Amino acid sequence: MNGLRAALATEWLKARRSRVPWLVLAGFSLVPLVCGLFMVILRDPEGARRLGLLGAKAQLAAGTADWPTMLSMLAQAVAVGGAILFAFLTSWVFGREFADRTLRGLLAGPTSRGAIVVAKAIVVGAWGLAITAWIVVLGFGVGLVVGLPGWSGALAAASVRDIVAAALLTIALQPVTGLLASVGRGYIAGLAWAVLAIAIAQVLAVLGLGAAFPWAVPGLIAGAAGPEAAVPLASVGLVLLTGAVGLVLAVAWWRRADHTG
Amino acid sequence: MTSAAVETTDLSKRYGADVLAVDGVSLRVDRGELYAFLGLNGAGKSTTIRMLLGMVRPTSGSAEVLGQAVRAEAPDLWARVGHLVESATAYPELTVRENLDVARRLLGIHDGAVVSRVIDRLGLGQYRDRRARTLSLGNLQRLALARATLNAPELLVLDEPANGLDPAGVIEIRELLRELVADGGSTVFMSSHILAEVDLLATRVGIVHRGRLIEELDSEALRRHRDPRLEVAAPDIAAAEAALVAGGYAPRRLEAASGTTLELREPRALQAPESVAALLAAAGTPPSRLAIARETLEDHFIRLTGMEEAA
Repeated sequence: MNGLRAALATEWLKARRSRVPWLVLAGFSLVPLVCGLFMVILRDPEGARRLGLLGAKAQLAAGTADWPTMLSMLAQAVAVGGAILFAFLTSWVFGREFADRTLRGLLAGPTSRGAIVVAKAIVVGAWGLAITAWIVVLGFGVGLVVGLPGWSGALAAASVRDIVAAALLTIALQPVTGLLASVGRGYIAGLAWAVLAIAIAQVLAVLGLGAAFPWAVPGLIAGAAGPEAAVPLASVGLVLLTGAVGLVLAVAWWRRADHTG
Repeated sequence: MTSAAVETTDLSKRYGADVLAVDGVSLRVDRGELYAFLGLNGAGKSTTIRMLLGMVRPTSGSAEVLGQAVRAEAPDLWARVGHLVESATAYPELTVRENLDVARRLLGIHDGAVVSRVIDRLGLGQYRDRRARTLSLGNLQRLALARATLNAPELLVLDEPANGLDPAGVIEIRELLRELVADGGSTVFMSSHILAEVDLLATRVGIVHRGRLIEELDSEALRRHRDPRLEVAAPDIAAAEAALVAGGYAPRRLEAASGTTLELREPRALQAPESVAALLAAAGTPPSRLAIARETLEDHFIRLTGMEEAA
């Protein structure tokens, strides 16, 4: 693929210098902080009421204030939050070329359009993984500060595996968001799809059909349908296939569409 | 024979059933030419330029650039072409230097010093570390031109390169383009609304209207338009023409939306218009208007596109 290294370097520079990826990081950082807050409330609901953290009649049904609950909550929040925030990041990486009208500078050059699309997908993936790593570290840090009971090395390893798997599968689906942002020539279409996909995933998960819908699979892996719900390998394959098809279609669209913006 | 810098054959682009943006444009631009592509807004200039750059696929016809058929993915070809399409844009969060460095990498240029050279050439030195979002329209245009010329292109395709520039900037760009053509051996294919600039700069002009190439003027024709002439209008134009021919003049018909006039370019007609008036009066066809005119490219363009509108 002609110019992939050049495309990667430029996409990385653009992502680094923009506020958007940092805003996504900041937004995602709220996830472990909110999980930690829930743990504080669960451990001492009366104290939380006195401090105004919990309404007089409100109850938290999240479980008990311990490491298994904290990590399970974190995994599910990463799955759902990642679906929105990674889509936000992807919509920006692809859609900004249309919104800022910088696309024309990427065309009619020796760097192939395929390389540019793939570089964008790689940068989204790298940012997504870096953000996930930060969330995991922050989550464990918050848990330590709160002083949660019930720690075990095996639990931590399994939780990290689930969180990273959920994040990786969410990232794998991002080329579809990139395709929609490109076809929609802006930020909106990709983001709209992300919100719609979460809604569909929720409905299908309730009906027990989540394993057949790629956008529901990260949530299932994160334990949204219960800790015992097994996720078939075929579902993981379906996610990867969907992402790959999205990438191929995005490259094809960039190559073949009329670029008039 | 050396291949043309740009060659199109019956190039057309249709959007949907109703919009024929470009209609069978055939043109050839030889190497080393500065070809100006003129037209009103919506005439099809930008669509043609986008087809030349592989950004828009023709509905029919073909385009060749530097001897190669235009394709979206042609790395060897596009490495030799520079372009500025429509309004100048840049990544707002990146500085001038970073924007050019992004373009340099994407162009596959390994020599980082080329960025500094082009910054100096376009007078962007004091804005080197300014973010593009803070640049004035004129400096943004300079940045876009800097990007277009980073690779010392064999062919430079420019869509309204003087947009947003102040008069001094327009002159600078004129000199830059002259330098690229004269010293660098580049070919320039440009569209422009600033016809006075085009008149000074272009070696050839193509006028496009409603998607069709309606006229091409070479440098001789451009010079001819700049030369003074005596315009003669008369109620009976055929009789006036016959009288002038009988008087030893060589009148030429000039069609315009407002009607047909005659033009005389002989020095004796220009030096003594009253003799022409007397001749016509004696022949029983007195002139209704007699004026020495010097048609600028702008006048010519307006007259021509006006005639097309009337047709």
